[in-house]
Amino acid sequence: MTERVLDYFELLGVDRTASPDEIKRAWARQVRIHTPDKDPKRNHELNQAKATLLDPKARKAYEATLDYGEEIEDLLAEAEAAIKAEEWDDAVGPLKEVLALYPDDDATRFKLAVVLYRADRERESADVLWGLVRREPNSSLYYHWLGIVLAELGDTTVAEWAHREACKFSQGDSEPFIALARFLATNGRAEQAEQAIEEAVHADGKVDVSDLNALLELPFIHLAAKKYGMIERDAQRVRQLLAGADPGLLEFAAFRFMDIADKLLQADRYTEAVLFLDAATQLAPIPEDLRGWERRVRLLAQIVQELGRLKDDDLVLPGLKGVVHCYAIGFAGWKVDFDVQEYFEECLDGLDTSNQYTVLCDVERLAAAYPGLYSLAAETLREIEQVSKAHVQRNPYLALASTRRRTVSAPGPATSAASQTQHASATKGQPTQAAPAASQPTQATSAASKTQAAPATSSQPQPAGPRPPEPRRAEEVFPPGCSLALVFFLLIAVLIVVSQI
Amino acid sequence: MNSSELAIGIDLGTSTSILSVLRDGKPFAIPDPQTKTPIVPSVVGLNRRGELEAGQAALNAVTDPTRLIREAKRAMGTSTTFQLGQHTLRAEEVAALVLRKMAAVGESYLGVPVRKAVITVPAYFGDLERRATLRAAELAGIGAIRLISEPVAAAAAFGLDNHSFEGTVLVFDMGGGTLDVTLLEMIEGVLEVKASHGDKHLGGKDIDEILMNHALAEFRREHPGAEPSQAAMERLKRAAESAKKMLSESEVADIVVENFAAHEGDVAELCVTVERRQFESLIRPLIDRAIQTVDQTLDKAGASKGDIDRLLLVGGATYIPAIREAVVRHIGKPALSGVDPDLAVSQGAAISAGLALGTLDSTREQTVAIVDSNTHGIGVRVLHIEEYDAYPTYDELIAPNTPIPYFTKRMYSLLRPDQTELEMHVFQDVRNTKVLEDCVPTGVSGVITDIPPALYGEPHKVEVEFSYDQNHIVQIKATVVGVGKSTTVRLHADELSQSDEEMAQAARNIDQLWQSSPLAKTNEKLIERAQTAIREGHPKGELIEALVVELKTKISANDAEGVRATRQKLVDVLAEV
Ligand SMILES: Nc1ncnc2c1ncn2[C@@H]1O[C@H](COP(=O)(O)OP(=O)(O)O)[C@@H](O)[C@H]1O
Repeated sequence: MTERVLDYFELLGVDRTASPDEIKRAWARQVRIHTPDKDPKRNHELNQAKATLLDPKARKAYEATLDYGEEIEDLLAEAEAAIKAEEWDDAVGPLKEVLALYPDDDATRFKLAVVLYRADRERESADVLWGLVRREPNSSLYYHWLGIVLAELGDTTVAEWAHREACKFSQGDSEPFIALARFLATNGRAEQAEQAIEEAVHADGKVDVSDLNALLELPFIHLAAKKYGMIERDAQRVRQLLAGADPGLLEFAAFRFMDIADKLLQADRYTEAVLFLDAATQLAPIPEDLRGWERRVRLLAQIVQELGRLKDDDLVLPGLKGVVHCYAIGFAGWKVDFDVQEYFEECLDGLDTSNQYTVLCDVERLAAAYPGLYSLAAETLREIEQVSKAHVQRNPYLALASTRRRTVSAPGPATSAASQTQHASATKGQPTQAAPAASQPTQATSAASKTQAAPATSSQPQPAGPRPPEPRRAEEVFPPGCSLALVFFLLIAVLIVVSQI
Repeated sequence: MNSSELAIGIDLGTSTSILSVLRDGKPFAIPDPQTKTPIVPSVVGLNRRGELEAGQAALNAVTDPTRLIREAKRAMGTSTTFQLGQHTLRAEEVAALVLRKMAAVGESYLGVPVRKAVITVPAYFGDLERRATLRAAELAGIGAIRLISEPVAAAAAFGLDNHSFEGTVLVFDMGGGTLDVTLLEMIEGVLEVKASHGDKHLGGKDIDEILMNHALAEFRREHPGAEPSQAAMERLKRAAESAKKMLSESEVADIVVENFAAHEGDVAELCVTVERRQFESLIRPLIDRAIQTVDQTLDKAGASKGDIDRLLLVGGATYIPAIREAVVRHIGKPALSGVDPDLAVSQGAAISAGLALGTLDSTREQTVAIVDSNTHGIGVRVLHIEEYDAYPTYDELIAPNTPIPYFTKRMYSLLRPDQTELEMHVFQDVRNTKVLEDCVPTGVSGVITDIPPALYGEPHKVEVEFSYDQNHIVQIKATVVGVGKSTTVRLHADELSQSDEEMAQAARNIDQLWQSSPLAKTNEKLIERAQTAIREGHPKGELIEALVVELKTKISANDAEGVRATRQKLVDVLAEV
């Protein structure tokens, strides 16, 4: 499997106990035989041998490889396999065995700490890290991780200390400062976090492209602190930093913003998601294959806003509210505690018994004032409209009523014609029922790809953000009094819609 | 003696060049038959008849500064060109002419052609400068056995004389243009370079300039408004340099330039007297910088002044007493006597040639072996990907102060499965920070194109084989695994790279120029010797005769290429025993 380890002791012609001076002399004698001119490869090996055996740490590592190389390698392979399968607990055993054979292997010890952390064994992980910190008191990396693990254990005071130690030994590396900022931000100390980011930016003494990662941390901080107003400025700073840089870097930065937008999307925080989306477009155009995703984010933000308004809009029949709400649930994949399908049918039933003029007016109002929601439910709404129209045409008395009502209800400047165009533009090119393109900016999967046609419940985890308006109960929704003919027509319509679903 | 067994070293200096040969295991510097000294000015020029002159002859015969090239070495590895009459020459082409001159010096003394030699370069020379030096050798028709850093060569000269010495040696090499400080350790006859550091703009020329400016200021004070011509300034430069040399021996020196500048309808003479004390205070800032360079070298090696056992002063500028004293006082050890500051580098180069050719057996007692190391880390630019982060970084392939030759292999991966092209750029970590922004591109890069997309969605792996040879030249081979596509990273900087055709054209130019040289009597001499050989009944007389005729025809046809080829054949036959 591996090349055999070259035996440096044999190469130099010394025994295992050779002192540094003996090694140097043996090396020199061999170099005179295998000079760079005569045998460059061998000469190189001799130099490697000398360099390794004269460095006490490297010598220990080399001796361990020489003695237990195969065993260690097998154990490490076993651990790697477990790590790859994310069976963290299974990786712990082999890593510990490696350390038993070769206690000075700090790299493996560190790996053990990380694996323990991943296995939710933070206490043990912290112990291993404390050991590493004792062995190597100037290592930024170990403090960095100690900070992360201790924070997880809730020991924020010591965690902060560890993060600050990591910064102290950072040697111009900005990562520890970023980690500190992240820690402070999650502990509600946004100002200090911002300050840490500034330190990260200046860690190597200059402000340049290498500070991109630090700056990209700022939106997270502002998000955590709900300082949404800063997000546009964050994007601006990134853009300033990258002025004249490779456009690839700008794209990369834009992806980071989109990534945050996607996370917000999954937490049902659409308005904030749009903020990040806008920031991303400031940096680079949204790539073709993410346009669908972008439209989805924007549409979601729009429908949430519209639902909020619709809830208190008395000029829309509860049955219609229910229909569009069901579509919204289906589109967004919200988890609700009632049977959407059943509720949808109830709503349609309720519309049968409504005044058909009112239905017509209200659909128009939906198209004019709630284009996002309308676009989702367009097909069904159009059918409802047709059914109502057919009914109204056969009933002139109701037509009068409708005119009267329209004068009362038409909101704002939106006339019927205008509402048509607005509707058209709002829905133009938008996939209303089919799921939008599922490609995402990052590995994160989105509920978008799971959503198929409207009304359908999705098994989303409980979202944290603002909730859509609660659907009203059926009792409130249906006013009494309806014609039998309408019931008949509507039933057909419902059958068509439902069979499509 | 068979010419290919001659161990020859050439110190190709900024201001002077020296050729040494190994005789009975000891290096010997060959004098120029015209001047009787081995120190040959690195100068070429065109005389009044438009013929090439090189060395001291050029300085003597050429008065027009526009027909004279000096210090071309400072432009080595750049696209700077020099004008010589109507010829436009790059630094390596000028160097090729200087090398030809040196070869002629060697040939005249040894009686056989100089075909191979070890050539010295300053320790600070990077990849481009070294490659340019190799090209210069090729253009001159001299095979470079290898390149060796000047201070390392000087140390080798010391080492051969002191083969049983063990300890630490500091080489302070201050030449015409630069200062190189190198720390070496010697054990069991092996000299190992521990660290090397330099100041590219600190040498004899800078001292000349200070003296020049001083003299000029004095002159202007006495003759306000007088403006010297460019030719007069050239003469002042020479006067300043000789005054500087004078001050190494005597307490005062005069800088005198007759007919220096027109002044009030008359021609004024420049005459400034400089006392040594005054001179020393003028150059004090330079000396301080030199001492700083010493300390930086020690820092790099993690050593202190107390660790130094021997101090070696080489380079013409170390003749200046103030500089010697300052270094000696700072280190606290006397400078080694017995090392010639002018000749040590070329002698070391000859030793290195002997070691490489095997005429000097490094396994025998009383010899040395040399292990050099690199000065700066070298690496490639890669994109480092960590979860959501991706940033370009410098990935080091060789750390600074690593013994060379050095080889290593590294596995990388392409960024995307559908990636069709790969560009590799080699960077030098000049500030030892391992931060990409601090690294400078070496101008060495390579491209692989038309990579087929990877199956199974995993980007292709790329294996990078890196080598850093003892000439300090980097080779990188990148192979896209499983696709059979690879690239050898090569010179990229367009204006510096030359096609084979351009190389051949340049070689022809150099040859033609050289043929115009009155010094290039080698053909005549060779023909003379060939005829003697025929007279004396050489066993291959007929062949020699035919070759002589061929050579003469080609000379009259002005066919430089042909002359070279025929000449080579003739030399081969004559050199046989
Ligand atoms: N006796 C001397 N006193 C002072 N400087 C000298 C003396 N001899 C030579 N130099 C100076 O040394 C420099 C050349 O040194 P050299 O080692 O030949 O350099 P390079 O290797 O760059 O050709 C020139 O600047 C020359 O003026």
